[in-house]
Amino acid sequence: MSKSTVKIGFRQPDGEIQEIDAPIGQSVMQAAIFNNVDGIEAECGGSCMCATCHIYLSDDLQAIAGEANEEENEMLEETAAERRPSSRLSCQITVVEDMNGKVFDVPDCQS
Amino acid sequence: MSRGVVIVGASHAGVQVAASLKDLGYDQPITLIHGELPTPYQRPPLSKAFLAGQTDADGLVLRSPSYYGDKAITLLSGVRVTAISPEDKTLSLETLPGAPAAQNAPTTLSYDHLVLATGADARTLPVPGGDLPGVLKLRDMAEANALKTALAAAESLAIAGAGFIGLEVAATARKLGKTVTVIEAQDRVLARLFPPIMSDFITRRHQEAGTRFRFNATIDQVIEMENGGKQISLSGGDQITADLVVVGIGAEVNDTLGRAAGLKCGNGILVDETCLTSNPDISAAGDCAAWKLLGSSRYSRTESVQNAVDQAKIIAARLTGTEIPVQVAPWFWSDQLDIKLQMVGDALEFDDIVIRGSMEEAKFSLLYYQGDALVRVDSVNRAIDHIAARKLVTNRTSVPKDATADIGVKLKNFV
Repeated sequence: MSKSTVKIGFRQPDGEIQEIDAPIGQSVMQAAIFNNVDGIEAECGGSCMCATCHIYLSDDLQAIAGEANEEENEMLEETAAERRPSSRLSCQITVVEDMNGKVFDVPDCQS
Repeated sequence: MSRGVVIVGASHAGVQVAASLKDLGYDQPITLIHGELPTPYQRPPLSKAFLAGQTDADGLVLRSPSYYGDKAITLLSGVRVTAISPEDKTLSLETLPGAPAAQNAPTTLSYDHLVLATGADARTLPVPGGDLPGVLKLRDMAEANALKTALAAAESLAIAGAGFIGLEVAATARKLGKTVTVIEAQDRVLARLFPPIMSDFITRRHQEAGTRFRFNATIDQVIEMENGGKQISLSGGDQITADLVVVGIGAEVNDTLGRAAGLKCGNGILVDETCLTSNPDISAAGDCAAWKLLGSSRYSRTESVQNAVDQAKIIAARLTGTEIPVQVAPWFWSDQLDIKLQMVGDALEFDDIVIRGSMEEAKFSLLYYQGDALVRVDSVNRAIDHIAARKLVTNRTSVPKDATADIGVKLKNFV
């Protein structure tokens, strides 16, 4: 597994941003859990089974992260917080170099 | 000075108790005792992504190593509790070889409240040769590491038990190109958990992936052959050979400490709906705890992450005087081959099953009814049904059967 990292941020509903070092190749969810980002529960551990690692992506992050697959889209139908066009499950997004300096938005609830 | 909460066991339940206590503002000392090394980790991926080499140990941590220090949670890794003295509310500890010397772990520890999250251990194959090297179990990281190494060198596997662990290992091993035979005492897979319609579906998918099954068969003996392979004698006289034997025949609850401390136990440590044991200073959560499921009068254990996490949150809420979360229907999942299986509800007592979706295309849910009430839902590659099903099953909601059979109608409409 690659040891190189990028800086990504997580913005809480109150506006506060937590910046972390995210290992390239890991999922955004794993990086968030490893760095104790509040508001990402990931109860199923990243199996796309629980919809509790929901996040919102900015336009540029959406372009980098690509599209959700069918299964993820189905889970997104069931998120606790409002589903928006920018909604994704962070367990299904891989950290890549282009994410350096970008910020993900954490929803106000996960379950 | 307050002695705070001491938590024995740092898997999903134990770590969640500590984390939830902190989240709820608990400001007394918290000590988390982890009988392994180094950092508490997630178990579900051990039989899946970890075994398949898709993630390493770093990818399995429950919280970063710095979390515990940052949150002022004292994590004692490589430390085992040898006895509880409930009268003076103390524990006796021993430090395992290899634990960090700098830790200076104490040999006794006092508590105001104790949480037992001691889990369960994989059952050993109870036959001659069941303890040979090359006969392996899978429950913790050490066992998963040993199995992963052995699997790399093996061409063939015999798996004792067609439960979740056995089938998940079979799926992973087939992906790695190994020859796999699953030996099951019952006449079908997952017989304790599913009706035949689901067992047959799962069996077919595994057979299509190349796994062979021997049903109605048990292992009488395992003998080591000269080449290091194993000769496995089956009930009925057949013999098969394999490089490796994997044992997935269930778990033995780890309630020794609780029993010795005089706690009421059955199959596990008995707890009430707030996860309190028969001692008012001791709670229990996770695989080691037995409580009454919704609508049931029997004590039972649920071995799942969801159960561990939910029970942990209940304990933390009680200890901080916060509103206690309501019990929900148990749910869990398994990942095998191209099957993502999600289950909610425990009742195998049902009057009727409605099939929603297509079993041929491996995209369906089974809805179990008692009368008009939905009491359980098993979903295969139908994640969209699962989360709505959790609420419907928890509330035993009445849902018209013809509506649930129509995949054009969303289950969440009935929540």
